[in-house]
Amino acid sequence: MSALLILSVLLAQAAPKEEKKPVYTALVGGDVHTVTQGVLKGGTIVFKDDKIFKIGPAVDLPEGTVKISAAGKRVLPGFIAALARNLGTSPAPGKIADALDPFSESIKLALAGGITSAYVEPSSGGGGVFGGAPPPAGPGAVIKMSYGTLDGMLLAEPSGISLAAWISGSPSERYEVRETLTKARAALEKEHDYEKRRTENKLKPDEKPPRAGGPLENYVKLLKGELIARIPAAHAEDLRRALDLINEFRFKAVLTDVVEGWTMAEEIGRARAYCLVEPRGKEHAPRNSAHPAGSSIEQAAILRKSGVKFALLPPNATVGTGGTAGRDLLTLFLEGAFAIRGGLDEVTALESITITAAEICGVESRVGSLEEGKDADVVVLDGDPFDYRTFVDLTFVNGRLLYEKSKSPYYSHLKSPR
Amino acid sequence: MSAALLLVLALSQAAPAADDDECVVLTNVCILTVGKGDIETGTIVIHGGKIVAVGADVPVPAGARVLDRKGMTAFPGLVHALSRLGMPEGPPDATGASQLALDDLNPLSDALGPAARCGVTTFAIQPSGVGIAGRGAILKSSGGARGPQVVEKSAFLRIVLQTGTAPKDALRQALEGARKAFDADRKKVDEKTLPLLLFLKGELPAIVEAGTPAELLHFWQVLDAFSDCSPRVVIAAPLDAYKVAGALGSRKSRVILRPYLALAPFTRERINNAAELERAGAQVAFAPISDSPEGLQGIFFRMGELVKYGLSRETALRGLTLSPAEMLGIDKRVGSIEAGKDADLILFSGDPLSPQARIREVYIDGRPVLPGE
Repeated sequence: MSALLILSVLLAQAAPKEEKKPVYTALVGGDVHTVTQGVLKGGTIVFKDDKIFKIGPAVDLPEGTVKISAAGKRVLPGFIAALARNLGTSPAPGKIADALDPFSESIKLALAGGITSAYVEPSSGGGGVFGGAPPPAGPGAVIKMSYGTLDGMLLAEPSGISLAAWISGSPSERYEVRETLTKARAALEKEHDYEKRRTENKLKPDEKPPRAGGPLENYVKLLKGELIARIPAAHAEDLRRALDLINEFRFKAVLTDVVEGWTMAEEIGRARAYCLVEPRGKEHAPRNSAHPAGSSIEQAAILRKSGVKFALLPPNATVGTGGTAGRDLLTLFLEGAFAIRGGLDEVTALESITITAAEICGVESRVGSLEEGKDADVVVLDGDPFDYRTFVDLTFVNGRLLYEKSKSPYYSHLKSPR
Repeated sequence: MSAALLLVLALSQAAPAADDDECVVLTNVCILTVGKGDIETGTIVIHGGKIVAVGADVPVPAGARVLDRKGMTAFPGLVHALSRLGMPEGPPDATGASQLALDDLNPLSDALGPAARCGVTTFAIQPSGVGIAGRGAILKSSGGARGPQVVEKSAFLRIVLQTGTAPKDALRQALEGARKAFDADRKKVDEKTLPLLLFLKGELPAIVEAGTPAELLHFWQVLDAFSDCSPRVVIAAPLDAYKVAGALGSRKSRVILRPYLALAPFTRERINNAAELERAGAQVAFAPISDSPEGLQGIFFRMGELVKYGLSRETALRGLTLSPAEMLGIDKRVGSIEAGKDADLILFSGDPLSPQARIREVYIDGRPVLPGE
């Protein structure tokens, strides 16, 4: 019941928007892992409403600041799931903005796992826990786990566009992908030409700027770098096919479901493609394979050596209380531990579930690290993120405290084993 | 449409019962007036289908038929704000603001009669369909087998919310169209726009059915763009509406609930949706969980359960009668035992919320429908 009470208090705070005084919240005395600016031992981080206001060894707290002790704890940016299924949305066709469900129980679970943002795709119906997910029905979006309110829940839409057809489609569908990209490139050139003549004052009278509408629009955005392509490329041949397209059209791309990335890390690095990696993924090489194949626990470490940026994902990119525990987004940060087992350094492991995941979603200017001015999406852990005994203590989204382990129906009964 | 409507109108105008001019007086009865407090032992004077006088010391008019109802408790007839009695099953052939539930209603349906004997005397009949489904009617049982009487044929708009971009855009566009007509102060407005225009003006309430609390947030995103108008919204809320209790309270929303206790997700911990909303400051009314006799009569025990779990007794009793009447804009006629209102009454053998109490008599417009004439 108390969780409910706190919730209603939080909601009441969020409801009316009259000349409100800023709300300051300070986490004091914790080790602040900023991700982009090193670690500050025993530091203080102050939020002003929904943004990070100050970070420092000792910060003068504005009057009325709500002080929360983080002594002996670690303060980190909220984790970012570079892909999540059935999280925070209702199954409905159309835009994700209109399908957001800030009361979804999956959000509470994600918060318990320290996740504050996630990339989600519109449902196309079908697909289940055991079935493979069908290709997304449209561009994906990045949402925040802002339980209880639509305000500030949508971070970016559209964010990513699936080019799955390029890998798994028929030859004609592949032809379609290349054709659309070719047309988009032509449309983009027209736009550039228009801009150039505009700055030189050489436009015809009444000339309107060219606009690519319809399905072409998102592809033009892709070539402009405003959208990120998602290409499922598990095996070497898929990766080669994907890299060919990326190299031909030069766009920002994320290779998803990557299994054999470790066999061609340098080529992926040269194409500047990102990867989504499941450190725990296991796949044996075919018996008579002429080239290195199958999965490798060292994949993340090998990609790192070639300068490839990646985000980590669990075997099952959902959240829930059913199924086998420890295989979904609830333990996203432990995927870092598996990558470390394969030789990855801890710094990169942390980056891969924070700032790099944010980059992959195109939202790195807002989230993914603790920096003044960025969104106050923060987790407090009771230990090392890559220690199997670590729990999430507190989770903040947009400056609001939305998860407290001590009050969680899922975790409050578990004592820290240390 | 019109054949059914004419028939219904014709039936409702049929000759009143022979004893309509008779003055009937209930004496020695405990009266829960709902609007004006409780009277431990009082008198209710009924004449011409209306309540003429109510009070502890009301003189009995000369020549009146006096019924001594010692030991009984009088309660206003219930107002069922979410009924589908007499409506066909299955999807409608068309929906939209111009549709009238009355055109779909089976004019010979005798469903209201048995329902009235459970104590429910006024019905807001919901049109079928989703989105902007149509307009609902207010009906009362007319007592015998003469079909229902129509109190109001176009009483409210029904909007059934759906998740997704297309239904959200459709609702927004329909309301924008109505506002354009409103701004232009157009004299001639087409049939689909007029009800929405009346809704924005606050002259036609809308019952907005939400399946999830999230749907309400999306609905408010649309509706708040029309805050310069004064739409009257009644929310038929889901079982977990307590999740938006704060917003419902600060908006002073009118909310119709089904009297269930909810469970906190993944637990067996009970949550009293109604009590949470009451505490937050929302106005709450209650509708039976179904139109079946069990659903209708069971509402009294269910309300008792909500009171046990923290809802105030006053809100519970008002929420069955006067509150839904106010939400539907028919509180001048029904919803409480007050002079001037329709003589729609239930006589219980005890407290309405007590499982020990039994409905002994029901009156509609002063005519007994239970035990019957």
